[in-house]
Amino acid sequence: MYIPDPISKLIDGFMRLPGIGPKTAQRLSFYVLSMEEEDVMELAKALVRAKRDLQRCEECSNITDQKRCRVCGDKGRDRSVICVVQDPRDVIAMERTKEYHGLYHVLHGAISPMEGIGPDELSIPDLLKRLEDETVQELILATNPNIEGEATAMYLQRLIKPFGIKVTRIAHGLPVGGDLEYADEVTLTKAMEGRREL
Amino acid sequence: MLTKIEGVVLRTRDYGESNKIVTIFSREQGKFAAMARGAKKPKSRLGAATQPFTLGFFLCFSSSGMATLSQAEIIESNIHVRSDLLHTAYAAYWVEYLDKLTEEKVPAPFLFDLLLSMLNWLEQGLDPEILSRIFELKVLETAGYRPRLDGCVNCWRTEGPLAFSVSMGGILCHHCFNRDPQRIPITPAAAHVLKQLQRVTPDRLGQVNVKKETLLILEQVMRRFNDEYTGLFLKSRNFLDQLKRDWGNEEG
Repeated sequence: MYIPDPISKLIDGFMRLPGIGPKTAQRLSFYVLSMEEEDVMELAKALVRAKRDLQRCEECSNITDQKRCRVCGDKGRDRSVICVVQDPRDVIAMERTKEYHGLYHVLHGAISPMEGIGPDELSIPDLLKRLEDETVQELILATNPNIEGEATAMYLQRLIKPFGIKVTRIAHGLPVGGDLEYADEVTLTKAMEGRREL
Repeated sequence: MLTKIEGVVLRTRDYGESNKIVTIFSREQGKFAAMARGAKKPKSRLGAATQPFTLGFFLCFSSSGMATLSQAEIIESNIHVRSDLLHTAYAAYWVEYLDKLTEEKVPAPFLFDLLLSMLNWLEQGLDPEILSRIFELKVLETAGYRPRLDGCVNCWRTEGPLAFSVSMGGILCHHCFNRDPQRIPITPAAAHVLKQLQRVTPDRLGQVNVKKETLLILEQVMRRFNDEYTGLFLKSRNFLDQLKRDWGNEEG
């Protein structure tokens, strides 16, 4: 089947994205053809800008378009607490709560014994450098409650122990709106372990 | 068709926004993959049951393609294995080793019981290095590789200084040392332990005390044997090596 070269290249480009197969890539490509040129230019510029202008924050390793991200540059934030997360998307999720006012540190991944991802592949040295600053009093380990997240939390807890800083782990338990009857044993056990006095 | 299968989760892979592809190892069906839809969502009942090393009953709907996991019930979460990074690393090595050396959908009752025993012994505090050697020997045997450990691989003699020949696949006595210039020298204690580990059944294993030097010899022998005959590249073994190097030095 004859497909003009520019469309063929566009289809190939879309197919590099996760979860996009040949049929979806073809549909998206033909949709792009039907879009206004101005909108296509906007999309193309946004893609290039996202790649070229974004860098890692020199302090917390979150993605930013400046040297320091918006959170690290905010003088109103509590600089004695650092919340360690796996991914920049986790920062967005935490910020949505509007309850946390400390700083973040983004690891860009998690230790994975199954995939052979070791601590050397994460931004742990930058975190240790930040801990040399005496203003840091508490480190909150907010990695995912799965095998990789737990492995990362255990590794960090052991690594940070000599610094004498308080290390805490986010709570595990029942989701708001959930039903106790349908909760599994592990979640319930964790919920019981993490219970608090009212 | 809906089937209820008892199995252990070997590994999971994210699929799409909130799904996971879970590889389960069972007695009746061996290793098989199933799609756990929505397992990454916080309210999903499949989230905890699809964590690696979890033993459970899995209700799978299967037709011609990949099975879909419709329900899961945890029998043993092995949470204590997952709460210790070194134990997690050893268990990850075992499941990857098993995964790479077994075929899909081939019944494996012996290996299933072996894996359960290993996780159980690990939780009870047995030396993970010894457990790893037993596991390797047993899995290799079912895959068709059984090193000869009850006498010299060339002349059957058992006395005198001994060595292990990877290329000849077993113990060499000192009379036959010239048969393999690449042989690994081993102590009589290491040869004895290796022979016992090959014979022991997982349900009979008790507390085993082996000197550190002997453990190192056993590890070297089995590593060379594995590399020669299976040729596997195991990501989890690299991770375990790194952890043992970093934490071993700290503790030493």
